[in-house]
Amino acid sequence: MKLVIETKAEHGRAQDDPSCAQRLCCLADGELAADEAQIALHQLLGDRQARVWWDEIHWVGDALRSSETAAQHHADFHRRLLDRIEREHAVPQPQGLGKRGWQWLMHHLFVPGVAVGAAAAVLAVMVMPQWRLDAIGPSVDRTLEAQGPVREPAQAGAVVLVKDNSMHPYLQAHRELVPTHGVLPASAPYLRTSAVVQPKREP
Amino acid sequence: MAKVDVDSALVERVKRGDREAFGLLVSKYQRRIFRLLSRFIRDPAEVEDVAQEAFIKAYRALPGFRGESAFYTWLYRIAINAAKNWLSAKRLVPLPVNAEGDADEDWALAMNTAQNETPESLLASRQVGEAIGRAVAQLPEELATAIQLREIDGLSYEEIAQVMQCPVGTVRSRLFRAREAIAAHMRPLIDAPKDRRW
Repeated sequence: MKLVIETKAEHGRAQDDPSCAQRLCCLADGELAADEAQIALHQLLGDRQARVWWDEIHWVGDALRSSETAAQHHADFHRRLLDRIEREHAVPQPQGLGKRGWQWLMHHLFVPGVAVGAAAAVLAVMVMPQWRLDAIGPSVDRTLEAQGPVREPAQAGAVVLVKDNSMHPYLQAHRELVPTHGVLPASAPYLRTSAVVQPKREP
Repeated sequence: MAKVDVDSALVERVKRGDREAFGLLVSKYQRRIFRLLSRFIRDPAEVEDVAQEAFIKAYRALPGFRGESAFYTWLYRIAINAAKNWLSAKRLVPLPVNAEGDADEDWALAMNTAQNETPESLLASRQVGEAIGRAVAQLPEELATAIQLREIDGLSYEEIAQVMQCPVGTVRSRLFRAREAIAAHMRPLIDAPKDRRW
């Protein structure tokens, strides 16, 4: 339900508008129904003079109950406290992040995170095998000359690459079609002709 | 017709990020917190520092406040623990903790009460007492009765209306007029211009 907010108090002292000031008294006493309370809260939060009156209502109540309590006046305490709160980060919101929170997360965490993840994936899938290929060097040629799948010698626990020589014609054709040595053309056939297996443990 | 508990409404607003709403809770309870802390701490400047710490802690912890107790009860515990921690730090003695894990209030009170009244605080208290006495004495009887039934006896508007045999609307009006009259007597106690006090 959209409330129609009265804003008379913005044009003068809250007490100059008896209906506003009286409503704030009722709000302070917890004697307003929901719709009226919403109006009063809007007045309070949007009008400095209404907030002064709000403070006076409670000051009077404190004074009637205890002069010692009402005498506790610390000038500017309220302003200094709110200034400090203003410097604090926003209240953590356990009831969900809200639209702005999600936008912030998407903008600052999710999108960069996805970009970093994608880069890492490219690095892992494309570039690292190429590095391994370069490191293996001449042994690749040897495996291509051999008959059938060849398992490279490996230490226990290491990952072993198995090359299938039946894929050799495809690899040759691909090299002829794509003469450049970019990351993708060079590594793609290698990826297609390799598999990762765990070596069996020696008894 | 269900009445709105203003503290709960303000707490909900603070949880949604409205800091001004927290300011209204501070306005409402700051004097009670000062008074509470001054039972433990003599120096008004230190009272203010500890009060600020207590309110800041409350602000930070507010998202976890589930409303199982009244807001002031919750704030009171935060303030009293802040005071005891301050006392413990100042005196460099371990702070006894009770079964609930809270600092022992009796111990803290025994350590520090009965010596916290200063001439300034006594004077201020006396001035407020005199001002409120004059203000209430000058109120028409129906206003004085209404405000006392509300603020001292804690009656609802409905109950006041029954006691005073008048409509609830009249109770509203009387309470407003009584507060306005008393506030007019108390304003001169604070030096700053009315709209610059807070």
